[in-house]
Amino acid sequence: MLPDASFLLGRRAFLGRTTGALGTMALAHLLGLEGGVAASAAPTRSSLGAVPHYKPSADAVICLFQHGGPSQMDLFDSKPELNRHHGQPYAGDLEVHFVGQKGNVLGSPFKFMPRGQSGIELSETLPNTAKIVDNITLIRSVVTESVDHELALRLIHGGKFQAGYPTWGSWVTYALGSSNQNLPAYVVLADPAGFPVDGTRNWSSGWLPAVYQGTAFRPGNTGLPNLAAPTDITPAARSAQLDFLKRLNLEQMQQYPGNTELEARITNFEIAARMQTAVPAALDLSEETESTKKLYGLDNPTTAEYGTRCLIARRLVERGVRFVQLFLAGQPWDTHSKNAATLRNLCARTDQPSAALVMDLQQRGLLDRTIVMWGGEFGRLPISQGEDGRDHNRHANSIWLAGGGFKQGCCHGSTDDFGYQAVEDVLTVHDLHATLLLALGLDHQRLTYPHDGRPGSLTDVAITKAKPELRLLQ
Amino acid sequence: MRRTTSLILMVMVAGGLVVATGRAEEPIDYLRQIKPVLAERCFACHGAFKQESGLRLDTAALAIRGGDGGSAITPGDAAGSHLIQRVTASDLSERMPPEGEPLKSEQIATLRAWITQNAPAPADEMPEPDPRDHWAFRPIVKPQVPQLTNSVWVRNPIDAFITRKHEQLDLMPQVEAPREVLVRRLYLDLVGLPPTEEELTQLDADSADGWYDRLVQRLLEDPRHGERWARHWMDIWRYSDWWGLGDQLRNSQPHIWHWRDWIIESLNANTPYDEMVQLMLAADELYPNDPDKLRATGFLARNYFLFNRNQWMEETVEHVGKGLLGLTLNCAKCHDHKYDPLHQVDFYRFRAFFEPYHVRLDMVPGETDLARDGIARVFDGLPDAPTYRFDRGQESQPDKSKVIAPGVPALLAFNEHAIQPVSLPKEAWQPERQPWVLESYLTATQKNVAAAEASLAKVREQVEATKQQPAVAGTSNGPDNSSRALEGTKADAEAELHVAELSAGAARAELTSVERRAAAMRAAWAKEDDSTGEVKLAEAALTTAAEAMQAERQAAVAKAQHAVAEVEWKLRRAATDKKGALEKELRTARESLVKAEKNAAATISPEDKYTRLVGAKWTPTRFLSSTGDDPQVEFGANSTGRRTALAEWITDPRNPLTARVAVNHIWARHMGTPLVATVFDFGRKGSPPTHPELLDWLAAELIDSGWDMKHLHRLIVESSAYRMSSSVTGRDNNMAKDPDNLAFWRRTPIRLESEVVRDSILSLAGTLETSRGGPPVLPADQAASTRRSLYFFHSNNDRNLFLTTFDEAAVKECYRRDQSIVPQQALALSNSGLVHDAAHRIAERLSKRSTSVEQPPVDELEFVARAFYVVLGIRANDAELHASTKALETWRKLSDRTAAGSVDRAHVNFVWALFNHNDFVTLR
Repeated sequence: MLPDASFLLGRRAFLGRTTGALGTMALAHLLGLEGGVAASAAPTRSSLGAVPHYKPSADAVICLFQHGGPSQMDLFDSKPELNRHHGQPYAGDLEVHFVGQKGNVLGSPFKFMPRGQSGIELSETLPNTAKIVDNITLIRSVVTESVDHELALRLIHGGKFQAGYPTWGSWVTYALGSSNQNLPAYVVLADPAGFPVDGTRNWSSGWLPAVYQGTAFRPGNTGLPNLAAPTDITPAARSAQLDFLKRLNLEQMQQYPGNTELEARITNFEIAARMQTAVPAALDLSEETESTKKLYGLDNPTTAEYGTRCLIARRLVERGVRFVQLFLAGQPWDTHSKNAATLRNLCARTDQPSAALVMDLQQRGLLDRTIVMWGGEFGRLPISQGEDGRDHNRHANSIWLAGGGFKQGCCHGSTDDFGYQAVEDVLTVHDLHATLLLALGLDHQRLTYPHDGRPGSLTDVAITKAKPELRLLQ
Repeated sequence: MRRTTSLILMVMVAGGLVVATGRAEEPIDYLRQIKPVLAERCFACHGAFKQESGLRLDTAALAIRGGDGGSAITPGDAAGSHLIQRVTASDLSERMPPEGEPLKSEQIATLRAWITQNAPAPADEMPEPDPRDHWAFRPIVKPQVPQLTNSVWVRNPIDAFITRKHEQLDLMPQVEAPREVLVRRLYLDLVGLPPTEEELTQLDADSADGWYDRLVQRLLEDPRHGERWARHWMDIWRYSDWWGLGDQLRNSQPHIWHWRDWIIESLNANTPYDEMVQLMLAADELYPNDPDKLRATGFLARNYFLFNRNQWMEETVEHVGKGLLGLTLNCAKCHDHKYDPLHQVDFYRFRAFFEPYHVRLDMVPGETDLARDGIARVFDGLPDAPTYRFDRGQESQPDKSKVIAPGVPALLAFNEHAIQPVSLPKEAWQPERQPWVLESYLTATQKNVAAAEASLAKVREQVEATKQQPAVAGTSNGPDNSSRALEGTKADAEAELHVAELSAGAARAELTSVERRAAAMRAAWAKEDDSTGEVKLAEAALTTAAEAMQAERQAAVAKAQHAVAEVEWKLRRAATDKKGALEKELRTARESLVKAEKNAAATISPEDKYTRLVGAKWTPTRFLSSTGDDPQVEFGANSTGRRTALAEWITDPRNPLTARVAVNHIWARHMGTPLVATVFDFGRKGSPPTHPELLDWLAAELIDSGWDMKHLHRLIVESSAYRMSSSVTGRDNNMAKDPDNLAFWRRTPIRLESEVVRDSILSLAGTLETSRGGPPVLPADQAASTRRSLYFFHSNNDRNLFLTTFDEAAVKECYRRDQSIVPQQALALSNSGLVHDAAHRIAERLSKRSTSVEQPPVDELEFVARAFYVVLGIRANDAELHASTKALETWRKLSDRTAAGSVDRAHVNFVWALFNHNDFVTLR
């Protein structure tokens, strides 16, 4: 089913056209035809230059995104002062989101203890993360600029409050393309229960070409729509159809020479045919051993769903997918009420699979090249909201990173005694982006694309002053 | 003196007599090493566009001449040059440039060296042109149509302009496309669907002269034309159905499809473009009492955002700017525009036009439930809301020292458009006065009464039947239990009857309440509208109000009685473990009843008011807190008139941008390539037009024709330029000179839009539903729906997968669609049920004359030729015919005929291949 060599013109002819051929070029790039570096042949990518810019320490990303704002002082950032002052009025100013529901200091109901060789303190709700603590870099000092979910989400995904900007997954895909011709480069594994807050914008390519947007795999074993041929067409008949189609297209090519779109479309049929086996194969967990499945908690109804997606994420990265992102439906970490109970449930659901992913990647030697990121759009306040909730907090947020050249068993930054505000080694969302790109071998200042008459970028350094935090990397 | 010295030095430099006062260094190349740095970092404030402190740096001479602070550059004296002092200043308030990073040290070193070398520059260096002279900001003047010798090819002025470019570049226009290609082109372009077989047959019969123009005329009058072109404008105007979180509305508006229908109807009625723009921006001020026209303001209602006014306003300014004016006003939000003559304050002046507007839902006749239907429209709810300039565009840093008044950028202000407040008719701000509103309430409550009475009659019948029923013998409970059970059943029936009676009673009381309240409202209006002070009217208003209140209280009692009876009824039948909760519910219901009864018995005091029936509802916002609605925004008797003034300015024939932007959009969709590539940016950073005179001629023609869009469509599609073949055959010279066809020497093939791909499949299958307008097809119903794709629910959160695969419009902004070619498209065309089903139907229809599957029909070739003609709109050549018959043979040998029913499986396979043919998704 592979095309004749004569089908594909030389690469120059394939990519040398500008008008209307953007899709073609982007496609070629995503297919790895460009090898990621020769992309300067295409005028629209000329601003990018040769990529990667530096020697990368990572070439893939798995982002376990935690919508809603996980409560850092109940999970990652132990604050004894909080419990000491529990129930007392908070001394000092606080930026609250829900004015009028401002309560007193709320201690954490969870015990913290030092874990692993590194002795990083984690809450008792994260017994499995405790097992990988020596593999992660825990950042306790991430700050953002809004306490509004949507705005903070857009900021952490795309570096801007405004809707319609490319997410960092799109930037990475744009810069590095895919190393697997049969799978999308940027895959989103959405929660079967529904989309997260702000929907498809969380993986939008904004004003980057549409091919760089995340492809949401649907739950179930097919992943992509229209993957299976209709049941009443036999393989032989389909094969004859494709042969015939090729004849017709060849005839077209003679009538309309130099048609790059047609060439791309012909290639597409070949790829589509391969995707029909590649995607189900990536999603088919039957070849995984029982012990692997157990590691991810597939034997437990509480962890099975998230565990399945974490395991699929590993299988995708293993096959060369560049960027995988997991989301939860709605914004479950948004604990305005019943903070403790909600956290307990969510940790029960996500802790084991998240840790399993890191362990599994390490066992397979993939962790060195794969960044795993765990975190949400902002943190929460040290005081109570209503009886038992916590309100949004943009001044402190804890996020962990594993693999891909990030330090192991390392803790970066700290907050004040109440965990309200990052005070030491403050890391803005923009700094975080710059650092992640650097790990992938990309200079955040040089990774640009023309937008609104100037080179648009993820970090927009003139405004954000973003700079990579080298101390996070090995 | 200093200035004189500099000038003398300058002359020396120009004469090439460089005084060697500098250090012995490599000579600095001004044009390569200096000017680009100054251009990037300094020209925005010290150039043609702006001259802060009177200083320009866009030529070396101007820099030496200097500004208010004297010379910026003293040739030979780097340390003494102001420029060097300012770029190296450690005091941040002194340092230049004020924004962004300081100049790099190597840049400063080069500057120093250049000055030390006496700042040499070319003698003929020209200052930057004045941005006000930018082509798009100059008035539209209709250019002379070129007189040319190639008059055979030139059908209309468009061709004359195109030909002149051909002549300039020595290009030979491609020949006219074959008739069948032209037919398909016109159909897909003008109505968005391929011709049906019947239409093809009719067309085949008409080959007399003028067939082309007759077809154009027919298609422009076809109501499907409005549907096709509405989708184009919906891209540009950012149509989106509502979205939010779960049921919470956060963006756009429910029922905004009324705006979509208005676009379709307006295009079919050939409503002038200027009028459409005016209505979209200000129908509430221009036609406050015309619900049909109010639908147009969906354009602004679409920008509604529950949580943040600033974001709402920013999007409004940005997209009115980009969509209607080709102006990137959004780039002036934080600072002055870097390229265009727009100051930061211009962004906020523009915003001030929109500052007062809010969104509400107006009732439509026959529906009182705004959750089911209503017209989303705008109104000036906050006429006094101030607009402030935000320092660096930060919402948190408003400059409250000055309220910004609405206004247009000075550059584009060709006359004073006075803003005239509009006094609204009463029906506009008391929408309950619209004649249908009270009627709708009465009809709705009457229907409820009828329904309640009907169900009461039914229950009564059942109860009678139960009473007649003898004891059932032989049940497992035994005879004694059986009679007890019957007793129980009878008691149940009585209780159910009681509930039904109270339900009907509550419905009747509600009807009385609505009737009385309607009467009271009418009496109040009579009094309010009476200028004579007629006492009787005042008395009637008082009396009817009291009656309304009484009736409303009685209705509340009846409703509460019904509620109590219903809970009692539930409790009777509930399982033991559910009884606790129901008992609690019953207590609450009884308390409510006591309260209602007490209220009904109380005397009516002057402060008491009945609940008025409403004709519209403000769409609440949550700017202050995300947990509760903001204070109600009232409907005022006046509108500020700001948006009317803005609309008049935008659609004034003297506005240099509006018509140019509109014709560029129209041209791009007919011809595949716009004349100005940056369709939303006609500013200095945008692309220049490939055919400036043609653009201006088209813009002037649009205005002169009374903004007649069908006139423009006709002009374009009837031109020779439009009718060319898309082939490159025989045009090697053209290919070498203009491979991207920017000079339009051939037809640019267009990838069909996602909607056209899907609609064409359905149309060819014969299953396309042709009904027009109405609520969108919800995501869950889309798989089974055969309506045109523009009727599918389309928002940020809900998009149809098939359409998304073929690059449908992004809702945030879509001035030109992306055109991707991804494997998912191949999958959709190979495997989707949509294509599969269509292939079956078409194969069946086209092979009707051949009934036997075993015997290949004699007219196999005819089948193949017809299929090519119908599905792809082309006449198959010999090679294609040959390949086709061979493929059919192959399939027949596979004897793969399962589940194909009466249809020839080989034919189905064949039609499938045509759907996957490149020409199916290409407008040749």
